[in-house]
Amino acid sequence: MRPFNHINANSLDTASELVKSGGAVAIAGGGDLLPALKDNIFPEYPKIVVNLKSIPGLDYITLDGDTLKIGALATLADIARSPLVQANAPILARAAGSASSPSLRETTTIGGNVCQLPRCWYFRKLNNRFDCSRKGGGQCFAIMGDNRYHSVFGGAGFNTDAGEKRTCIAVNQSELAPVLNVLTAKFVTTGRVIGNLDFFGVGVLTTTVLNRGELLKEIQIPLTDFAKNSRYKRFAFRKSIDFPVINLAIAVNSDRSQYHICLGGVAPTPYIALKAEELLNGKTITPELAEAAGIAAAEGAKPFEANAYKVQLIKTLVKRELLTMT
Amino acid sequence: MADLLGANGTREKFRVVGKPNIPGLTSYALATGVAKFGADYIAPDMLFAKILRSPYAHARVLNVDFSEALKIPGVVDVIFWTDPIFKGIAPNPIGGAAGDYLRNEAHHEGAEVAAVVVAESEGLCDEALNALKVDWEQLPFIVDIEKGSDPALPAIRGPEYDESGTYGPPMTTADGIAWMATHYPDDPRKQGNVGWSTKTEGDMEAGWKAADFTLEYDVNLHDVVSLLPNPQASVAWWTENAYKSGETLRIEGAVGRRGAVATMYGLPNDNVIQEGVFQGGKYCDWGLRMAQEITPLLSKKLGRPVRCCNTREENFDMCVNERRAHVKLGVTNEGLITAVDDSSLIDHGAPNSSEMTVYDRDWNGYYTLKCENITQLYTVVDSNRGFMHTCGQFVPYSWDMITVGLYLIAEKFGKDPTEIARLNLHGPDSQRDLNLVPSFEKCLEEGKKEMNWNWHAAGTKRLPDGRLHGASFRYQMCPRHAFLSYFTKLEYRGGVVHFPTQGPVAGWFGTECFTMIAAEELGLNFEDIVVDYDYRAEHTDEAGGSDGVTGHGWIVKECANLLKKRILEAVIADTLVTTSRFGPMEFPKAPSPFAGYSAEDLDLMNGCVIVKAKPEISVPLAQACTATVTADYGGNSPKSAWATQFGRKLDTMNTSWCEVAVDIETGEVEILKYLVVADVGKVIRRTSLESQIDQVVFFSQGAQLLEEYILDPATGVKLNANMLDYRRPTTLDVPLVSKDILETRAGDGAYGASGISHNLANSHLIITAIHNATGVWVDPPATPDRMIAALAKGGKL
Repeated sequence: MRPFNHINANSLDTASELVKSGGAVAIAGGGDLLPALKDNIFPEYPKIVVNLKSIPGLDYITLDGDTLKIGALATLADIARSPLVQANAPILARAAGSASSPSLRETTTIGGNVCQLPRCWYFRKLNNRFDCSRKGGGQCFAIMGDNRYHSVFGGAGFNTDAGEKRTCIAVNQSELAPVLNVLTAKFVTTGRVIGNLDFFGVGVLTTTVLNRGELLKEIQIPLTDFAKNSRYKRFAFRKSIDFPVINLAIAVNSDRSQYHICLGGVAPTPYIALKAEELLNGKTITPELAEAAGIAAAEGAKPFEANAYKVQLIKTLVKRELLTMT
Repeated sequence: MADLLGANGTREKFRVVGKPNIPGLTSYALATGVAKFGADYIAPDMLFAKILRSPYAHARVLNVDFSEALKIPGVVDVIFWTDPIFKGIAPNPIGGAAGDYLRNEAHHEGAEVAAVVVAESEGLCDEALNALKVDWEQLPFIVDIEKGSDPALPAIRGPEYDESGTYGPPMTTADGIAWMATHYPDDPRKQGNVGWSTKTEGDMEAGWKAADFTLEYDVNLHDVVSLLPNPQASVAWWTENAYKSGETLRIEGAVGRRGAVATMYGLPNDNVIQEGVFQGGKYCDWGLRMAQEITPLLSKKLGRPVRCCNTREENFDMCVNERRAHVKLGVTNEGLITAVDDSSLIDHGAPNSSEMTVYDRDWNGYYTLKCENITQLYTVVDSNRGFMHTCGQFVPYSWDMITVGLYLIAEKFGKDPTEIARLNLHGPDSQRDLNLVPSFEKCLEEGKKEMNWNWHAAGTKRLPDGRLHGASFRYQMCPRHAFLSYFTKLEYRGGVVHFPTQGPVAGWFGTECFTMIAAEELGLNFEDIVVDYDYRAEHTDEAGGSDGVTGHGWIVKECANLLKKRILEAVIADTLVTTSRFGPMEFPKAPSPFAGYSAEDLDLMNGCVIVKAKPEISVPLAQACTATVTADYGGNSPKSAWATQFGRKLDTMNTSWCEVAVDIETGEVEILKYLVVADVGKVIRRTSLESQIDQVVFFSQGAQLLEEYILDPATGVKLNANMLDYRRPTTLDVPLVSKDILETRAGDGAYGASGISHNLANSHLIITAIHNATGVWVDPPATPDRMIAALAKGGKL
């Protein structure tokens, strides 16, 4: 790892100012950033690493009325074993408890999990081998390369800081993003409150819409009946360590008038399966309906040859999880 | 029981060998973290080095502007391939003509090339590497061996890698069996990047004529990595030594044979001090890495200790090369194979890669068949996929052309593949021997019993949970290395037997096995043998896992018997001494109870010297023998059928069995049961044996379910060369291996033992079980993406 200055921030404002000034990155649990630094994947190696863990009081998990509030520095392990989360948003506990490995869950945070950079192997190749579009370069190497783990719902267009148009087909593989989506979470930052549908994004060196220096402070989960009737499923090639190839969260309200279905690992941002939701809204699950919903969830997919299996997985996983909700 | 040469081949009673729960001598160190691996070594005032690595699959460094790198405070030097220190170095570990150690041409992405930076910290080395402005000349490359098999493509290797001198008759074994040739005299000459090698035996025309039909199929083997999880590293420095002429090299962490390091630097062994016995896990990968070899050169130039340590990513060298076999069998209506035609397209890897993985066709299993008509045409393609260090995976890994063939014949006739295997397997003595092989029969019987074997045709059995059930079987011969020579020395002094060994401590805990053998032969207990880990010792554990331990064990057995003879002779010599001395004083000595006996009349038992005819005459060894006695024994162990006949003779055998469940909608494969029934001849140390089986099966499961070496087709860059993306199985992904160990004493190592490790490695046992479940072939690894694609192609989705 190349040398850098390490600064322990004592407040979010301080941290925000440091990161905003350029040449600095924020670190929380380090699960995402440390490997990136070791592998030297950034076009510009950060000169300063701002430690957020030194900011007191940002790792809480509390119930405030009918809202579950989780500090951005709460670890995945804390969330997984929190009685409050287990009782009020069990799929969040389940998702947090299934990420990565036990030791990494003790250090990695909910903030880091939802803000993590893409796992694309071109993006992650050491020594910034591929100057890809997601780093501001001119090309998404996965489009013509090995894209077996990439998006089946097309690429995301975005602009560089210089206003140049770029495309990327890397997927969002956050363990918690689909869950927070179906639970209609709100993301409180140092400057604003962002709804679940608006939080995730695609840009140069980011998977969220956060501006430079804007830091995540808290995640709020409204405790509606969606949270009580929900399912989470992850599909990975290995039973531990791996990021999910596809993960899926489904929630339904008590009168089944509204279903929320969100998939990770299939698109550049968490993918809301609107067609499937529309098909299901107001209905009770039957085997035929579950199968139809699976097909609807995959509707619009335009896979490459190498990742066509994901379409089959979407259909199967959605169908099977719905069948557990009958 | 085998007709064994040497002492005690027919021993029937064992006190130590085979005893369960003998502890590992270094287990405490390993379990507590005391054990030091390469990356753990440091030295005062040391510098750090890092080697430039190529970002391209094939490139030449034309120039390096290092001015910015040298401006970084703490960066000490940047050393280039042109530096005299890199000239005239002999390759390691096999040796050969001395040449340039560091070159300016890289033949695969990640290869060390052209420059080394040296700095006061590892981070500064990274900073310096980043500051180098390298003028790369990108060169044509091949990472797709099928595309690369076009002879018209421009050559990717320079004239220095010319193969014209490799056309000639094959080497022959001690039994006169034609063994390995890179190219046979009549082979077409290499064109571009493509070489050919054809070996034909028997009468192919007669073979095809005798067949009622032909069967053609593909067996594709992908490349997997060696993956050394303990980063390879060394720290080295030079000292003047008042007691030896010339400089002394001290090198720590470069675990391996001391002789290899000394040879590389042209030093007498005594001028190399080597520290480090723990090497961590690896599968038959004998090569030291540049990080382990280069530090003496750098230290000599810079006058300070230098450390160099690979990252894990830098350790992702290939272990097995890619091979695509197209096999055509002539088969009778009874299921008997009459002709074999194997046309394989094989990756040659980057220059100087191990060719043991490429040309050694003889261990591939065809010779276990009654069929003697065999043609093997190898099309070998130079590539830039990666570098293969010396390794031996090839042997069993390519055996599954027969596993699949026998399975397909069985499928055609609706028969159990074990029946087809029995029909085609020749007898113990030759391919024309029609007798059954007792060891195989026993392994078959036990396997069927334990698996509750009830064969079903492909795609016909569904489990209660809806998944499809499949099962498979394969057989092999148990191996024993008999082509290596070994050396052992034992020393009795002060009432204790010392066993000096340089190690290294590897996965198979060979030292414990050898210690048990020595204790057995000397009438001592395991604890009575003191193992001295000493880099100066000649004995090394680097003998090839259980395959080597059984060969090397024979040498230890002989050495222990020699020592025993000499100890007993010393006891008798002591009886002739009537006085003992202390300074100027002389005392009469008590008469020895062994007076009047000869050494042949005596024996060692339970730590005592006894008179054979009167065991009640017993004196503790320490009292009976006060002399210092040594014995050494070296050379080859007896010939082994495995290493000289390659399957034409059969002694100890094994069978492997696998049951899988396949979720047809998700492509997930779960191994329900994996059973190994192995006739190892004689168990030496059960824990070592079982761990050998565990690791080789783990390797095989990983290779068939998850692991593959993924390269970007456009750039040749390795995309998954890291612990996360490469996906070795976790313990949650594979089941515990069931084991049934048989002891027929039919092997040809010590006590009739054979090894186990290599020949359990396989590429298609699980793949065949998947076919039995689904009726669809998938090329390994059977990851869900490949499974879904294969199932869709096969009309199953």
